Amino acid sequence: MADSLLNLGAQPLFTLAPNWATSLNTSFAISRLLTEYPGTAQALDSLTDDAPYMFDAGFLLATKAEEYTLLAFFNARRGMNQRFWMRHPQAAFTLKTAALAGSSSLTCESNASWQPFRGWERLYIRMSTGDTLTRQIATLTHDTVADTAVLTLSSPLDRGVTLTNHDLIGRLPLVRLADDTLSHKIASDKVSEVDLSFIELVKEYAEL
Amino acid sequence: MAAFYGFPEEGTVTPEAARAGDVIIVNSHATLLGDGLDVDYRDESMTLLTPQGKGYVLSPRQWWAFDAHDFGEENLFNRIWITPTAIDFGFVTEVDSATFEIWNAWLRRAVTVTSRTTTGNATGFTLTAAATPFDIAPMGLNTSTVQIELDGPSQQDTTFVMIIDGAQYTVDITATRTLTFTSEPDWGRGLEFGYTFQTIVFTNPYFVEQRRPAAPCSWRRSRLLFLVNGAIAQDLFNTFIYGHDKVFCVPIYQERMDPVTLTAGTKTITLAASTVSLWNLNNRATHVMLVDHALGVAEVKAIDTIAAMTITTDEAIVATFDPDATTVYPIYFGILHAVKLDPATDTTSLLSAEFREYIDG
Repeated sequence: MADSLLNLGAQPLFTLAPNWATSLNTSFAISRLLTEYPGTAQALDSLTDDAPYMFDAGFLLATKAEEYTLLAFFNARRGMNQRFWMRHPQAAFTLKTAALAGSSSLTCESNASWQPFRGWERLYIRMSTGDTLTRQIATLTHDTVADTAVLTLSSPLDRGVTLTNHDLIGRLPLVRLADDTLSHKIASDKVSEVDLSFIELVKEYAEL
Repeated sequence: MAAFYGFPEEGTVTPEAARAGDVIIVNSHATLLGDGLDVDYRDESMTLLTPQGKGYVLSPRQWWAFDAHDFGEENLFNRIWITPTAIDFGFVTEVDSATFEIWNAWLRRAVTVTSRTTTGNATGFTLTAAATPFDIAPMGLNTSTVQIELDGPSQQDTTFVMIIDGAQYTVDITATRTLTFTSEPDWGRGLEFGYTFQTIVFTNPYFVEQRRPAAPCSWRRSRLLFLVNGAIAQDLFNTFIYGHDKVFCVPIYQERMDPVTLTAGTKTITLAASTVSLWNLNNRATHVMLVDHALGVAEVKAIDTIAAMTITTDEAIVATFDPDATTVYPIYFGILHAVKLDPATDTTSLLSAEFREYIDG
């Protein structure tokens, strides 16, 4: 089969995979109001429920075709200016029971993901064949009886997803580049490396 | 003797009094119609082609048309036109030429170009023009040619000042000359190549963002390390000192191409491998540099077309290159931002240089 890229709101998907040999790290932005004066107690006020993902990744470009893809993408996005979808390279969910083709539900291991869930999150499923599925998570609840995370997808699966026919279920944040400069470290006329940083655009999901 | 006729209405016109050399304008609302229409207006009536608003300027057996809303007969004639009044040759990588014209748009009056002087840079160009003083007949055209030379001031800025019937007219010539270097950087130490946009980002504590692009395209930069010896090191360092305020042709080394054939006097470079995955060449490059590493010879050519296995240049290759010793690089035009010379021995140096793209204008 082929990729099944749904619920992306006409924004492009960054297709290159990070190089695990270089530093991969993920954090999130913190925004809150903490009021304090010398010698007094503090007052903590919430400003937003959002905590945007921020992550860095390195990319090894082993061919000129990969280099062309990256440069074309960077220049089309105009550095920090324009948004896109980025497959966060780590698993966000662990499937607990198989989902049939046509199903809109995924049952995953309990992981407290329903706590920060905001309603606009997307996920991707990397199948063992190399195909990618993208879907929006419409609801994410905790089944307290079975102690599982139950995800309802905005669009049904076009194929069955079993415990063994996929590699990864990851988050698919809407991001922009965190830097306007792409610094290309060139090892030879064929091979080069690039480090990129991404920041999630939590307030822009609503437009898509 | 030319005559002038105005016809404000659509319809059939018979300019019976017109003769060869006459100028006929029908209304002032003209539309550009192209050229080449041959009208014998002395024998036949002339029918307006479209509703009111069309016009013609006739000279013997030819016509012009023009948009008279902005450029009508009241603005077009009875004056001197210099076209263009400014010529920018851009980056000078080879000899180039351009023309400018003096059009005497007086209908019945000859004018005299009494003098032509040059201000600004007096070298770096060759002007081919009629010797002053000379006359230009009514509706006559005088053409001059300026050739920009490879050698000359780094920033060419020359003005030709012409006195025509006592009034002063000027033509400005500008150009940016470029420097080249032929040494290949030390690949063992790696190269750095950057692309930078300028985005203005406004954000608030709630993560609401506004982003505005301030640069239409990415600006490129290179950081290169050269391990060079003896006179080559001296040559490169002195070139960089000389070029501290000048524009360089900076090869994009990671998109190097090996030529199969490149022949002096021809415009086609045949390559050993496909160019389709070279992003800078296909998207941003306007010029390529040919470097014969055996002879230390370089030539920069403007690109006409790029195909998978060939590059066609605007002008013919001048020097003789050995394909087996030559590399072809796309280039960008850059200025030096930093140079550092680290002596390795008393004759060998590690020379680092950083270039950033120069956007002319």
